[in-house]
Amino acid sequence: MLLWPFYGLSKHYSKKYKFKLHSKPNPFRRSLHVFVIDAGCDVELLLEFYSLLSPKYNTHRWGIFFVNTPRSADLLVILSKPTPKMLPIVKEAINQMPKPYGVMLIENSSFDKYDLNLPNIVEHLKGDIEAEEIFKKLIEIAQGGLIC
Amino acid sequence: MKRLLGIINNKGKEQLLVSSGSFVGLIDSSQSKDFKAYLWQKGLNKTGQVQDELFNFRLGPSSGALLESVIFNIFTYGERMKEVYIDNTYKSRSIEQKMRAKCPFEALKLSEQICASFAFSHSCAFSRAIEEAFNINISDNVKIMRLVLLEVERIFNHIYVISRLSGAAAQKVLTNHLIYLFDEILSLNKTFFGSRFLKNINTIGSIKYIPKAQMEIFSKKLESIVNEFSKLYEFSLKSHNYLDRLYNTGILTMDDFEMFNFDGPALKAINISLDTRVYEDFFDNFKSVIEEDGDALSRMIVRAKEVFQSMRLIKQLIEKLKEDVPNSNIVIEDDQKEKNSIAFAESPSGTIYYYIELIGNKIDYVYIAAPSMFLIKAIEKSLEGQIFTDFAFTVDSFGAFFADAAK
Repeated sequence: MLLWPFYGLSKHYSKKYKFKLHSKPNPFRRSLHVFVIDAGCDVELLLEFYSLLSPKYNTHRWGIFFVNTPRSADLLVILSKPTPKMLPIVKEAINQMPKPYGVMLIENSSFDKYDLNLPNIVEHLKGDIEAEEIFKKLIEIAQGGLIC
Repeated sequence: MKRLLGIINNKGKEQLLVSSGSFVGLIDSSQSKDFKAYLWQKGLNKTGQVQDELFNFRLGPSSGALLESVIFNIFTYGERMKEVYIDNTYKSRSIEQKMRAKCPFEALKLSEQICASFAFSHSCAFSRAIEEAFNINISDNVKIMRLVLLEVERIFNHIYVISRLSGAAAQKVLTNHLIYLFDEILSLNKTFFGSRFLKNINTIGSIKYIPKAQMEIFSKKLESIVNEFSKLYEFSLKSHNYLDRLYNTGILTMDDFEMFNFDGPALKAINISLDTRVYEDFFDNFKSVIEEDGDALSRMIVRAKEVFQSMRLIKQLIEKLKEDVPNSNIVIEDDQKEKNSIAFAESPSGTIYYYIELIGNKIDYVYIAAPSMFLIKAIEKSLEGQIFTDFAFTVDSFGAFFADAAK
């Protein structure tokens, strides 16, 4: 009987991406640890991030790792503008991050218009953001390094 | 079988939104004793308090173990969960309130933002309610296209849920394959319909025009993905390790249904179907997929079989499509009259009901009975008595979204 690990090896899903990278000799020198926080999104962005776990993107090869706590993250990704109840939790997550850190805010639907005044925002994406676009931004941040 | 879909509290009068067979409508609140689910919907159930030696293990709202921001209050004395209470208020965006005083076209966009995984179902249920209120006739092609896209939504959602389930049960290879297939379907949606989650396609009285030839190509590409899923599913059923984890886990019974009135695959897994697709004219002899055990494995099997069933339905529906361009100039006039309507659409995790009251061409009141509202109560019940190891795949087997429940 064929075992799962061999079944897995029988398919090649990884896509060959071409990115405009910084002129560093080794594109895999840096890695980026990412913590994703759902601040009240309609699940779309969460599912886009879930798609990034597909072998097609092969995120580990590019040095991108998703972690389970902001205490071990370089980058905090906030999905949608926080609901009133989530705002203090998002701010506390930022407080827990080790320095240097960056914050990436992604909004696909904005109900409330107010300024968040969050520190160290390295990227603010708006509109219908797809997995591939998020992936490219993460690569850019990973390759460029966090300057905060 | 009767279901209490919600309690309508508008202008100081309380009414019950109920469904029974093909009837969906409002009844007087004096009949609330007929529904055990009235207690939790009214907030009359006991709230979580520490009893005896139990302590509250609080998981969330920002935790790597959870996808969405929600709090699980787990009352436990160690490994076994005695009681579970879910607080999903962190996800609340008050969309029902935001829909008020808006025109139906603006509110339609809001309905798509409740939960991306059910975006098309919400949009479909909402537009059906408005069409009924204003007596807007829609063409057969629009009806068929809506049914096709509802089935597409079902396929990618079920594959997503099964991938989460297998991930929770530590089946990493299967999970990676399934996430790949999930992403492939989303890419296919983007190519053919312009939106990965089928947003901005449906509108009141109409739908985006896609030629029949294009739909046939889409169907073939989708079928190849479903065939790939079929191989993976058959292969996964040979993994005893996987099946042992799901079998007899998170069991629900008929008593639980009477108490919480959930539907969708969670109900089909206990041998009962309230699938509203049986009332659709364009399905030939539709029969729901049902299983018997009421556990996580049965819910997974129902979803997998529904993927194959949906693919067959899509092919049948596309054959019935005709080459006519749908009317895209629907105008809703302000006649200053008061109207109300109820409509529904079958989402992947259960039926979505919309009750809408209108004054002229503005929305006055909306109540949305989303399937996840009921499934969250089912999750709470199914976790009772389980050990922590079973937590992830019990929760994931329901396919509930907290964004959908909190609205």
